[in-house]
Amino acid sequence: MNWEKEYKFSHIDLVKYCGASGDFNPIHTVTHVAERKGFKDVIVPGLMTMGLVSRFIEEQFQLVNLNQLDIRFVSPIYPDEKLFFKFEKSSTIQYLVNFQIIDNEGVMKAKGSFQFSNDGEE
Amino acid sequence: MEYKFQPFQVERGKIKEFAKSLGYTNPIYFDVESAQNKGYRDIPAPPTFPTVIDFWNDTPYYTFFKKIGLLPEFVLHGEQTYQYKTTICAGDTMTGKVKIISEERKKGKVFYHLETTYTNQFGEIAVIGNATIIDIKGNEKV
Repeated sequence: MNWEKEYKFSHIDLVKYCGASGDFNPIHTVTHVAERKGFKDVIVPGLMTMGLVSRFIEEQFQLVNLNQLDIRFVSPIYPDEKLFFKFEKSSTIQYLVNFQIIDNEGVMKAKGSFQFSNDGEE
Repeated sequence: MEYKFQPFQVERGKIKEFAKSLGYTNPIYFDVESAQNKGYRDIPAPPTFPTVIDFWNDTPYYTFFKKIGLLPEFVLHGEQTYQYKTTICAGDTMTGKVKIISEERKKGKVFYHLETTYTNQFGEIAVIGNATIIDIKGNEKV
């Protein structure tokens, strides 16, 4: 059970997400603040990336009972970047899936894992 | 140090808005009947919904940040873990408690390890969140 999702965040996605979540850190929505901090554009909120991961998990399984979801944010994710979310079932631990998010150039953006207990194997 | 959020009412409309902003299309987040057909008490909250509780309760994360001397635009998120114990549903009243587990200074930055426990109105722990947040200005006054 390995699978991959391609995804691109848009600027307006970030605005919607920040409003919905209440994360009004300006580095996610105000370009000149993000640039002043040394970023090339606004950056995608970490929890938004994690939210996408949770959606992709749900879309993959019929019914998933999440026990734990972990993510480490390795490098900034920007809107309009092409991203690949790669999921790989652990070969040693049952009900554990590891994932990585990489960009077009193979740069690691984030990685993590999730554990579930369920009957919802695809 | 421990910090408490104000009790937060989980509303159907807020779940819908949040789920939509992440592009969810699963009807359990939009339609009570679909949710109940899947065995939920009411519309369930998506897995990363605790962040809404962090930011939209009446004494949110920003108040907490201020208390420990952090400015939002200097804060980055390093790691996040959620452990799920029971589902949060619309109609629930959630309370949250944040604890600073540790604080490390590395290369001019401060790494805070935070643990947040989200408890529902039945006194059950629904979710435990562990976060590493990074103060990129090293908590110096600017």
